[in-house]
Amino acid sequence: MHVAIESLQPGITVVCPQGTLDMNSVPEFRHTLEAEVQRAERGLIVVLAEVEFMDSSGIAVLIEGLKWSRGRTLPYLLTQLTPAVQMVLELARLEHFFTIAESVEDAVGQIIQAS
Amino acid sequence: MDATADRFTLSIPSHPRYLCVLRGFFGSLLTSLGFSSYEERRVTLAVHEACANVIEHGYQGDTGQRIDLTVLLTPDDLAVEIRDYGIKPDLAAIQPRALQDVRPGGLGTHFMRSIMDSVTYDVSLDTGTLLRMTKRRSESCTSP
Repeated sequence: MHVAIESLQPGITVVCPQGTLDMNSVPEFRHTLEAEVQRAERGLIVVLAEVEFMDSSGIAVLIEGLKWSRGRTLPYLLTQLTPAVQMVLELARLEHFFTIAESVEDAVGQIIQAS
Repeated sequence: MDATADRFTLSIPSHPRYLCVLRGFFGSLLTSLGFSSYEERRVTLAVHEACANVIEHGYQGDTGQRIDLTVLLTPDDLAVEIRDYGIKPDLAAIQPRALQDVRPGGLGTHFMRSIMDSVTYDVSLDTGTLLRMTKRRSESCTSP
């Protein structure tokens, strides 16, 4: 899998995994996500628009990302969920556990407001 | 086993990289049977999670083993049998955990039980486990 990383505003990191988030790809993504949570200064946004398939290990790493962010009191938002991602969140009944923004711009706005 | 059922068999190595092959097979099969895209994604996820559990727990991450799958189609049901030759599960330990306990891990079994109509484990075999999951076709299809 590929993970695109960019910073739209100073200190706000946008992480965009592409392809499949499953037990085969999660170890690499977990390493990347943990590093980016530690590097971000104002907030972290996970864009899920290009995730075609996600399994329970994928949602587990998203939970870990939230816990790492809470440890740094860093805003952590998900956005642009594909039907595959939405389905897994609903099955796990975690759709209200995460902060889900309508768009990347909305997520950036929420982080700026919280700063 | 139902002699009138259409039967498919698939054997994959116990490596996570081949789970995509499994998903491709089930995606194509379920679509051809008229499953809605929503149910196709759900059932494919259930089978994926079952095989991921075999790799992680049954084979303890050993990627050199084998997982044998059999799909049986009757007019009413889709049955998936997943045979492994690894460590038998502790049936008491694989009960789905409480969802309010938000933490990584342990969700796969919950997904399988939520999606499929039945999930049973046969641990009476000499080696390994036979997992059998069924899904009623009539509630999953958008067309006959």
